[in-house]
Formats: sequence, structure tokens, C-alpha cells
Amino acid sequence: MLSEVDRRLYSWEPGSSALKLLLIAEDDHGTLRWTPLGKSWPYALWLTLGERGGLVETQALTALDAAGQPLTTIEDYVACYRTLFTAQERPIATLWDSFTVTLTATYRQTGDPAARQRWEQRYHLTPTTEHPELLIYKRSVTDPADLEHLPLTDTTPEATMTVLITPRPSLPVAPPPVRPAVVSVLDNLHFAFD
Amino acid sequence: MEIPDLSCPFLSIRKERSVLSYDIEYHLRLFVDNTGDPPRYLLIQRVGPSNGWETHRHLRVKSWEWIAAGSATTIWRALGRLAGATEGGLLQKAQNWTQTTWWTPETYIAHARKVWRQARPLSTFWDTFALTCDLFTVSPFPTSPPADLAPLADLLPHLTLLSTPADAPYPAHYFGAIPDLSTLQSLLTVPRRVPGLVQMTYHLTRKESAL
Repeated sequence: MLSEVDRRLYSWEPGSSALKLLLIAEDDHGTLRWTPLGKSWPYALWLTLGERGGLVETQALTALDAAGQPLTTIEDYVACYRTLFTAQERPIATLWDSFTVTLTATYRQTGDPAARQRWEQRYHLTPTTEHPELLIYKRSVTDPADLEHLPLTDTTPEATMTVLITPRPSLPVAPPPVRPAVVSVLDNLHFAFD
Repeated sequence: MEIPDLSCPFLSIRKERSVLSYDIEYHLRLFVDNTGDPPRYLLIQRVGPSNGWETHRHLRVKSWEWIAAGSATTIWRALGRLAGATEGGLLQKAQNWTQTTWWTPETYIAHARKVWRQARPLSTFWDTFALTCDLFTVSPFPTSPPADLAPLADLLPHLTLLSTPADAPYPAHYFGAIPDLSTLQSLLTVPRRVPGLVQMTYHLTRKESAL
């Protein structure tokens, strides 16, 4: 049975509601499997998180918090992610310390060659394996600005594109850096004047 | 009566069209059937878009929508999705005639807990609400179904043919009043069973006698 044991939130601008990448680690019968849950703005990620919290409420999904304690209610699950969003997000540049990002794609040559060229230019692709019918692409993504404009998956009748985020063998297991949610009273003073 | 696990068609539609407007929740009600084990639930919501107004009364458009039905997991999954929709203001709370206030996922979950505690017996749902559907098909169902349409036999007593296609391009229009959730489950499988189905819509209305 799959069990959510760890999660990481990478942000293009930490401390703001900018684009974020959410990765969860699932325990698949003893094997830790990192899966991207979404790359989007926070409000869109919360739709999925709320749904998963509802599954936790009835034990249809098991999840552990950062200390390894089971989350049993939807309130616990939401509180866990609220802490992640407010105090534990990491800069996207540190994603490559723990993970490698690879783009794989295939294109079935049936239609307009110009459409294929436009598609290749969109994702900056050059075929690695050419076949009369099927083109195969693979390249590594090493730049946050490059990843920012890539969807995690893109499927059309001719083409499929997937961004694979795989952990490095040396993935550190240290707890994430904790940044205080409110640094000083002065930081939240603007609420009084809104 | 067994309530089947039903998907959330309206919820998925609302996710797609939440770009230019937000949704306003007016009521959220839960009905429970404790006769079986485990108990089964039906979740309905009175909801409307932020940018739709009635022409004459100048009130916001709102309607009762069937959100989810089935086991506790199905209901909590839908409640969690609604709670997640409040984070960016996609779902807001009606304050008065024109104002809305923002929820957070945390406050919406507290609201959902209260609704969960106040669940009403399912029998009161059928006293208060009417669930109807409209089916538009290219070819009308035959009056005496052949063997391949035998699974539809349970639905034909509930369907009334309102208009017959006089010319080929116009679909036939059936209207059906759904008496129980088992019939609703059968209706949900009609698109798989009837290739000529053009459109199927549901309407959840409050009975006038209950007002």
C-alpha cells in the first residue's frame, strides 16, 4: 500500500505566491518513490491537497508528517502542508542538489513537418533517435528558467512529452531548513492599514 | 436502499471554468442513509457563479447542485476539494445579497465538520428535493427494446419522450424524474450504453411543497 512519507516544495520566488513545484515521497512496499504532485500556483495545488486530505480523513490514504507520526485527519494534513507552504519551501535552484531533471519525448511523424519543427522549438528539442515514423528526444534540464516554462506532461495525438524528476543517490535526509513564518511584528503591520 | 459511489460531474466542470469568476456557496447539506453498513451519504450544495445575475430581480444566479454521493470517502474527497478551492478564492461564502467573504481551507473544513455532524436522514431529501434529467439522443429509444438495449429497460418507465425528431438532425428529447439514487446510477451509465446520446443534464430543484 502506498503511503505518503515526505514532501518538498520548491519555489521560484520563496515567500511569495509565485510558481511552485511540489514533490511527494511515497513508500511503495519499502521503496521510496518521489513523484511530482504538481507544478503550479499555490491555489491550484491546494485543490489536489484538499482532495488528498479528504482521503486521509477516512484512511483511504496514509500519510506521515515530518516527524514520522501518522496524519489521521484532514485538519492534520492541511496543517502539515500549511507549514510547508509558509515556512519550509526551498529555492528552486536547490532542486538539482537532490534531483536530476530529464525531459523525454516522442513524436510520431504523420502530419506537417512545420508543425513538428514548431513543437521542437517550443521545448528546445533535437531528436536523439530517428526512425521513419517515430522520433525520440531526450535532454537534461538544468536551469530553473528552463523548467519554469515546461509542463510536467504534454500529450497530443502526435507527441508525448514528460519531465522526469528522479532523486540522486545522495539525496540528503536532513530536515528542511525552517524559516520563521513571521520574522517581526513590523512585517505584518501593513494588515492594519489595508 | 444502497447508494452507489457516484463521481462528481459538477465539481469537475467547475474546476475548468473557474478562470474569470469564482463560485459562491449559499448552502451545503449532507444526507445520510444509516440503514446499511457502512452508511451512505449524499452531498448537495446551493451554489452560483459570481458574475451571473438574474435579469428581473437583480439577484445572483444560484442553483442546487448534486456534488457527490456514496461512501464517506467519496464525500470527504469532495469536501476536501471544495476546501482546497477556497485557498485562492475560487469558492467563497455568501455574506448577504451582494457581499462575499473568503474562507481558508482550515475554516472551510470546520464548516464541513459542522455539516457532517448535522447530516439529515436521506428520506427527507426526497421529500424536499426533486432530481430530474434531460436526455437528448439522435434516435429515440425503441418502445420495445431489443436484446442489446435490455439494460435500459429499468430506465424506460422513468423517461418521457417530449419531442420526436421530425427531421434527421434534430435529437429526440427525453425527460425523466429520478425516483432514487439507484436509478441515477443506471442513468450515469447510459452514455456508455447508448452510442447515439448527444447530451444528458441533471437538475436538482427544491419542491414547491417544501418551500
